[in-house]
Amino acid sequence: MTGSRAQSGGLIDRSQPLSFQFDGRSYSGFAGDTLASALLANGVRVMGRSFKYHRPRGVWGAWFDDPNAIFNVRLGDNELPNCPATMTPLQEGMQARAVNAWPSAERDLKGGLDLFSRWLGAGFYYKTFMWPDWHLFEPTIRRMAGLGHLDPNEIPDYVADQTHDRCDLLVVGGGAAGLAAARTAAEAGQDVVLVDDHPELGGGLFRRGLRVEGQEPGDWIAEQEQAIRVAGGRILTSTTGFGVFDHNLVGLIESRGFSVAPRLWRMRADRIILATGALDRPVTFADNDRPGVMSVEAATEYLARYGVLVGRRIAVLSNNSFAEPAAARLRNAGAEVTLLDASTGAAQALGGKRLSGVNLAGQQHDCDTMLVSGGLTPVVHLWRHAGGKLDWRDDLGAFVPGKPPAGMAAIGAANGCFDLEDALAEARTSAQGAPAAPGNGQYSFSPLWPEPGAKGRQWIDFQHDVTLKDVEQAARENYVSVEHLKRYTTLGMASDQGKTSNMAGLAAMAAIRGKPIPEVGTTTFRPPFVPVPIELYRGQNRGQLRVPLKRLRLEAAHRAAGAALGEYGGWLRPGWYGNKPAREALHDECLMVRNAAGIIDASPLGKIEVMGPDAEAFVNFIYYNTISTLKPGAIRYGFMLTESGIVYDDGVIARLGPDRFVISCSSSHVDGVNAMLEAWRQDGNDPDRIFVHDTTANWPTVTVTGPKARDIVGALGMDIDLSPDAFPHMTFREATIQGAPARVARVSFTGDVSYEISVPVAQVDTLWHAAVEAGKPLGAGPVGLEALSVLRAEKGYLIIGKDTDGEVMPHDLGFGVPRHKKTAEFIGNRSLHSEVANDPDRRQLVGLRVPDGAGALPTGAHIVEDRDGRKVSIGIVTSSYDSPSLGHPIALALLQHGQDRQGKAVTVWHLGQSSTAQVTSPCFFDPEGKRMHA
Amino acid sequence: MRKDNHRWDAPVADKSLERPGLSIRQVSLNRMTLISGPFPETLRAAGLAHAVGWPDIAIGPSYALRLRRDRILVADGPDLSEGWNADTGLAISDMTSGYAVFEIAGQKAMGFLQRGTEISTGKPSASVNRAFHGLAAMIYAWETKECFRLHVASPMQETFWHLAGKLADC
Repeated sequence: MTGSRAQSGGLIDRSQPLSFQFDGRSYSGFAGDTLASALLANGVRVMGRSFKYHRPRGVWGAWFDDPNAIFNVRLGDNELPNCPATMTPLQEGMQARAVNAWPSAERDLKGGLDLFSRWLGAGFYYKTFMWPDWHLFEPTIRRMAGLGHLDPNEIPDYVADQTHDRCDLLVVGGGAAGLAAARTAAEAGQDVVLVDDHPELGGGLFRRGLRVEGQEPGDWIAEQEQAIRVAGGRILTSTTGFGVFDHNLVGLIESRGFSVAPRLWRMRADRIILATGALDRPVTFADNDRPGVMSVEAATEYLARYGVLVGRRIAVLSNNSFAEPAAARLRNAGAEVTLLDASTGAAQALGGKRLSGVNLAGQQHDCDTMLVSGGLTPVVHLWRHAGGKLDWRDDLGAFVPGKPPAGMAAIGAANGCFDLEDALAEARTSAQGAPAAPGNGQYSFSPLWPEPGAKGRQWIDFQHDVTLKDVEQAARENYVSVEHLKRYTTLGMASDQGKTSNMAGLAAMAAIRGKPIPEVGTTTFRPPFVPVPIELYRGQNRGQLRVPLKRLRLEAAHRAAGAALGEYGGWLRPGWYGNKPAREALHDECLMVRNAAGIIDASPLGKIEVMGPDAEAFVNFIYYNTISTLKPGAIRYGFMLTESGIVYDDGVIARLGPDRFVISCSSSHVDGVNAMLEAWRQDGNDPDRIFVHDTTANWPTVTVTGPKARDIVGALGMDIDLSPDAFPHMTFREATIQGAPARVARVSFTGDVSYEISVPVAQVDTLWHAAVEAGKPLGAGPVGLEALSVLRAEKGYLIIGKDTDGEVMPHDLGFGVPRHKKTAEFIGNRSLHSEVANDPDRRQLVGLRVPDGAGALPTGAHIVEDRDGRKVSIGIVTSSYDSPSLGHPIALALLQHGQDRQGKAVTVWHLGQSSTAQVTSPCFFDPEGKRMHA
Repeated sequence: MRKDNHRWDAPVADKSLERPGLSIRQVSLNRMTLISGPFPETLRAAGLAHAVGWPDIAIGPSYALRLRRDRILVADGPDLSEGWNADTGLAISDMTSGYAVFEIAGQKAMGFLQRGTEISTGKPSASVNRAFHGLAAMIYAWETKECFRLHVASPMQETFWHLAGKLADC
């Protein structure tokens, strides 16, 4: 037992004892402890096992810089994986288990792997498991490599709260510099937000134990906090800035307790001041990963915040002037402290799971704890997220913020200013918007970098078991770029993100290459700065809100009619109606349309109005087909292409007047087509002479289709002549129904007489029910999308995206005339004359007919040809159904040389099964169109 | 062929909720008219002097929302003839049924809005168009600084309502 609880001191509440378990053993702590501080106070040293070698590890740091103590924590019925022990507030009843260890961190069965370490160096798995096949080994390696255990049970109501906010000034870090800056700016009238990741403000003031401007740290902090609030500033504690994104958007994660999902703040700040402090970095020496080796800063932090003395006999190995005052504080707390002179020679930690001493330059020093500091590294992660440059300072042995990104400044230790008074002056100057030069203060430093070729196993990255020898090996294998070094060795990955490992790794590579450290450079800093649960990004993007569907006004009526609702092109629509089995309902609905009529909710069909003096030329340019000749009151079918000549959408366009068109694009493409029209309107056209209004939501549509459609529509009381001569196929009429406006289009997607009737939302319920009632005595009724899909396929009508893909051009579908005849320019024109477009092997739309008695072909099946004993795909089945009307299966397909193969047999192959089909015209039903024009 | 009725809540008829400091309810406007064209002409057609942006407060029986450089939505304005008006150079469409309108009021109303979009009275915008949790929406203050109106396309109103219930409880 080495660590112990001091009788007094710290920010913990000794009146609130808490009991908890770690690796199955019971311990106690106090409110205000973290799991790590409570374990240290109980004398626990081994809190984890390393990633690869399963070496025993204790804590290195006291906050986000600890790479070793990572726990699965259960509280009540809830369990969270990969909780950093140093950042997890202790709660009554917590049950923690070290990840990557079994049955416990103390007695991990895989600890023996370390004996094989010489064969498990950097990249060993790239070389070792190549024969006979990497995939044979991969599952086992992945099982061994994973950290943490994911509880399959969802935590009830674990939903991240996500919100947006803004401020004039965001100060990240509530230490001395951050508090001073926030107060100065708030009192100057700025809207200030100050965030700090600890539950209490103060940052490093507690551990340094210095009086601040004549006050005790606690008193000074309280005064600043009050002044900030009085001046209108806002303070968020337990909140970490984890990333800076475009235009000064800072991602903040606010912890709200163990079983409560965190809150995400998307904070937009006019200005950002980073007061994120600096970290102690490790010293690279033999066996520097032993439990009991930790940072000087961590030891003073555990003492100051948690009242925990980390050891009784402490040796300090440091290269900077902060070691002595730290040693003095530990001595005052009752420890025996020895300051070692790092310049005397190489060091080696002694002992196993318990540190027994340190050998320095051949001399042994007994100790139970070794505190080390290789110098301070400013926390510049957020600075680099924003694109800020870094400068190297030899006097600090560290990268510090250089040329700033717009609207950002760094102050205090984060800016390499380690002296308290200098940092306060710098903070106040910076808060007023003035540039501030950091002072050097009393901090002194002498280099203490890794020495290539040194004896012993010297850890560079504790979390990923990367040693100095691994870096040397990477250099030998020419992974000399720091980015390559990172990927090859995994140095700086995972939750450490280089906080402890980066500088040692860079310095090692610099030494190996004989270059100064700044010439080696740093790896890329990326968000998140600290691990955040994926839930943070999820928030309300779940369930019905994950991919929300558009909803029909008539949905209640459909539900009442027993509709089976499903997603069709981004809308929740009826697939079929009634309680019959789906296929039976589909069969009956198809026959109902062919024998009487069907009533379909076609509201999602696009109704995009194009208006203005240039509207005609514009739609003529948008469409592949010629539209300029369209007469008012007439409708034309056409394609919209991409600039690559690929079919993007099909549909009809109606001309309402000389300067007014309505585009009825396919249901799933309305938003896309609208965006496309807007883009082209503003590009190469005069946007003051063309206007595009998407009125789809204003005009829900009821379609009545079938041989008795005219009778049903006639019963609705519209004030228009429905006779075929007065209102022929492919024409449009404006009408009224019971005083309300209605737009009626005679277009058909079934091959039968059809009326698409669009009315304002408020009238559609009435229209629907009236049509259903009028249809009942005629044998007509509601029809869903599944039947519609069959009916349109019988007629050979396309569904874009189903019967076409990202390669299909209009001439592949039998629409080749505009390509050669249309004289006006249109989107995709040039691409239709390319080598690809003229390829004689292009696939063409065809129908497929199976032999009598055969079942329907599988959609997606390949049409194959035998070439030199191999099956080669020459086409694909795009749609396939049993046709109730025709009494046999039908299919549509894209097939090479499809037109030339008419009447010929082809082989269809699917999942190892072959069958035959005959190539036909894609139109199986009423090819003369008599029913449609009736 | 899937039947997914159970995955989607049935449409809610009464869309109103009350929480401490927050009330949300669906309201009905008699007319909404989309007008595109030269901005002064759009206002003239609406019979209004200005169009509301953010954080302007819409006041009165009729008001216009500025959507973009050349487009406004007129709430409860005059009954205008739809289509292209060559004399004024305006394109006019009735959208009375096209948008569902919700009123969000109370001390926590701004907090509610901030959960769905980046919005602040400190950052003005000429347009009331926003993305609210991914939904295209128009958001503006109505009558007071603590009462807001939000328009979403009618087919997305159930989604908004489902979302509103979740956000109101945050």
